[in-house]
Amino acid sequence: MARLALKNLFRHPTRTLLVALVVAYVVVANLFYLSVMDAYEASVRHAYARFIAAPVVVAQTTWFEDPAPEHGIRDLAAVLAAVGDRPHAKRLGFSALAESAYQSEGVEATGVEPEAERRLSRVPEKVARGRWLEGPGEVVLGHELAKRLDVRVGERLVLSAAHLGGPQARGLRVVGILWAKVGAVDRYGLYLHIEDARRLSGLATATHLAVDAPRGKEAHVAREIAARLPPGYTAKDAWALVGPVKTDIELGRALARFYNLFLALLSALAVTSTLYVSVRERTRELGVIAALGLDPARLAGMVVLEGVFASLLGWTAGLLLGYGLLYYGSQHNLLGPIFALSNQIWPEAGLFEEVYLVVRAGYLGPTASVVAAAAALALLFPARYVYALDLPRALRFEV
Amino acid sequence: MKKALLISLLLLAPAWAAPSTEALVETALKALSGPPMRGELVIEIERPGSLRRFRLRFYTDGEHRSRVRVLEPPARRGEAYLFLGNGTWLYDPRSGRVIELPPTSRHQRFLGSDLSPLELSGRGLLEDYESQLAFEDEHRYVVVLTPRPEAPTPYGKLELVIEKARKVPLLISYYDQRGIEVKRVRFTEFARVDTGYLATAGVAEDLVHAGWRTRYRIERFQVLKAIDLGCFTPEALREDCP
Amino acid sequence: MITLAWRNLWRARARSLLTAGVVALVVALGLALLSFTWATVNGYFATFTARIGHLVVRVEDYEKRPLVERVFPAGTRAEVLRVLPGAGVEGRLFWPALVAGARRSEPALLTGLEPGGRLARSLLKGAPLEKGAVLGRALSARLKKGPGDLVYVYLPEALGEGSGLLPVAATVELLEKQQERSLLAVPLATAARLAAPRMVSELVIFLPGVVRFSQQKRLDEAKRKLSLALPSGLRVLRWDETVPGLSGMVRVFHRMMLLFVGIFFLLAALILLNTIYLSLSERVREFGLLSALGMTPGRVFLLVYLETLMLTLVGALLGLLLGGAIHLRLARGFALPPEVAESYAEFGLPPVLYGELHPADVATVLLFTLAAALLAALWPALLAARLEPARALRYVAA
Repeated sequence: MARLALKNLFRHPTRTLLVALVVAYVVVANLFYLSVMDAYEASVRHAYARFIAAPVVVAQTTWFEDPAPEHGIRDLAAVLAAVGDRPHAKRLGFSALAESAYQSEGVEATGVEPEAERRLSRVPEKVARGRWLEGPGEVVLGHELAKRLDVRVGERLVLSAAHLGGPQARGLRVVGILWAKVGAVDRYGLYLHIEDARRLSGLATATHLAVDAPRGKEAHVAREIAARLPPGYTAKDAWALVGPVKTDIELGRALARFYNLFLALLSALAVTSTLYVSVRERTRELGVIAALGLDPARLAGMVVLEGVFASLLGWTAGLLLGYGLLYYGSQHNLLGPIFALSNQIWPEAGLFEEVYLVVRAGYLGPTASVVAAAAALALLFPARYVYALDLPRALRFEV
Repeated sequence: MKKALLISLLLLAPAWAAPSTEALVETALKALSGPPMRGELVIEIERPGSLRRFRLRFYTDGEHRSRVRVLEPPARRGEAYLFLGNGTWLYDPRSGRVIELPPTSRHQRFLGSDLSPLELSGRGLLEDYESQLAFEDEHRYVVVLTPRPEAPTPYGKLELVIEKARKVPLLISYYDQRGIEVKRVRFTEFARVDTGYLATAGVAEDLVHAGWRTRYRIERFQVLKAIDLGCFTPEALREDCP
Repeated sequence: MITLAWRNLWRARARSLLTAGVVALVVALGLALLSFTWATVNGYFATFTARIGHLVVRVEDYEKRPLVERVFPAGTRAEVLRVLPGAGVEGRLFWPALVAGARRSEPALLTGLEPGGRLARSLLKGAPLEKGAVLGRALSARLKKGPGDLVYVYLPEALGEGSGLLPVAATVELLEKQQERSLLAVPLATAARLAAPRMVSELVIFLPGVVRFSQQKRLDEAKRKLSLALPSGLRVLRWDETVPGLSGMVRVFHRMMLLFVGIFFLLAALILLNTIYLSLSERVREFGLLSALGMTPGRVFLLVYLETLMLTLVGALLGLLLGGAIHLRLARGFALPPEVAESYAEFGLPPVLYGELHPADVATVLLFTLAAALLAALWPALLAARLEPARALRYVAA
């Protein structure tokens, strides 16, 4: 039966190819959409893991609600014990007033351990002018913040804060300016040595710990660490820290299903209509076969198989082409410019301006719906036609 | 022997004759901070199209403690400031609160004028800056002050012109970090006191904004032998003291 | 020829209807999507302009200037009203501040707004600004000060009183956390008294009757008139010029939608191609006959094209009707499902959206349809035209 179905397909190669073309197109469109959704999510995750926050963040539970030195880590030893020998970096976030000779602005300063940050975050490698921090007395800021404050590399910036240690002020030398292409960093990022942060904030330890985790394993690592932390402390993975942009991503995913279904249906229509024509043309032939004793159900089944095979052909071609496109997009920053614009409007979304398409085997499943839809429609129409063939009329049939 | 003595005397003479730059700056700044005293001070803030006037009562130990109380204008009467060591406190009579201000307020406009509390008191220049004698002629010294690395000040450098005769400051020029002069304070009148001189009048010009100027004048003052330390606490700001 | 083409179409009624249906569906989808897109854009437009006005008057080089130079006389308002009578004009004043809590002080942005004005209402969501200061919730949490408490405010380099005590009237939650951490909103008069008497940082202008993004022309006209009348040193900006990239964003969004719609049209073209080819393969003998009877290849080509165009036209008309009906429904006002609406409300999308279609959009959709038809029919028409009559007449399918 299957062989017969296949042979029938290639009696009119052009028709079959056209149908396969439609299916292939739909598959490619689907793959692209799914990949863009994943790329969007991956980009946001990456931005949060390596720029804005960390793969895993460990802090007091109250700190997550109100990130201030008041809720800093008190029992550092116990927290470090829970983290174990995973690469980590202490951070101290506090609000401060940054003053240059010309401007002042409220900032969220982050005290860091320069070397530890290098291993954990991509921010240090994004210094466009000057260099990353090496010791106390230095500060690195995002280029948009530097522009607003009107400071240049080599100039002094005064940072003042009042937290646990009362009012404190310090002059820090600007040693580097960042160009991270992540809005939150470029527009608001200010990094200084953790020792200076300690003096300015009055907190002797740190507000939170950034812990490294392999990509895809962040939630797992966070849970492991959380289980070992003393009470009052918790660990969260980067995705848990992502803000409202999550909704946009999830909505896109929800729409994907609708999109998928709609396209599958349209392509199935094309397959079915072709199948229908081809079946009608062969009415006499099919009548003969039926007259020779072949079970109509099996005949109908053969017709369905023809539809399925045609779809499979298109599906395969679509997969090859589609995955090729995705691969290209995974190596080249095709979507970057669009995300760059969004970054301007909404810097806290955590959009990263380098967006690469994602290539996943998991896309096979959703795209297979085209084959399923074709099979379903083929059952409904051409197969039924064949099944209900009135033999005498069929044998006399003229197209 | 005599020759050697003469030579060594000549060599040492400059060291005797010229004071160290730090000492010079310290002496000059003493003319700004003055002896322990109290008195009244008038500040006039000129802006294009407006003139604001404050009359203040001050009480200082000449070192690290001073307090200032606003007498005029009536709307601000009772407002008081305390400068104690590195801390600055403010009393707001409308709320009855005393609040600690950030250290940077020392460097910022006092009452919206072109003078900072530091300039009015002459303090802080020694702690936050390193001094170096740049130039001298028969009438004056010119000292360049460069901020210490972690000093909380946005200036790039200061130039202090000191009159040789009386060792009083004539002029302080403030430069931003790009070499542009942004402010100039001239001290125009001095009164003789036991400890030296006291600058009793001056003008500050904001060079970034055309027509922005502040004049100050100490209208009366009384040098004191003893100081009531109890007046120099944040709580004491609520009342006039002593 | 046309009647011939028309008759040919309806010989395979089901298939023609199906194909026309696909075209109709795609056209309707395109129109619906575009209407939805403009509805969203207009929604954001409404929210954005409620926050930043239609036009803004600022000093030249606003971004580059230090604080004290960003202010200009509030009296300029009179000039604005003279040039644009009937416009709503609100002043706004910004100044950095340090706010003291029980123990600690936080940097904040003193924002002077007119109580009851549109800016105050859109930012503070009804908080009673006239009763005192409204703090961002995060700032209030940091200071441990809430409604009923007093906060002390210190303004560095102020031209006014420079410091003061303010009662806290309410707190407000904002989408932009950075803003929420630093928002200290007070009545404009209070801000001016503290920071810069009789001055404003911005004059925000609302033009009556401007509710859609596409009304840019009116804004440009008003901007032009105002620019001529204002003293030098002041600039008039359109709302989207104050947020860099915003109008570019809208254009990109629109183009992306068109691209999305285009993808569907390409599919429609492929399906059309399929159909035409199928119909052709059924009528090979017929075309052979027509050729033998003297129809030139050129006319055969034309015949196929005519059939395609007609089919597409039928589909397009149906699609226009369907799409138009959907658009009319959207234009009356629609709401997204509650969970979605809630999330997007955070981005600034209003709960009710109104669809909008421009003639340009309809033209674009029709153009896409035409292009699809022309592309789809090309190859089959060529094939038909090149048929050899002798062979064609003998053609047997299967």
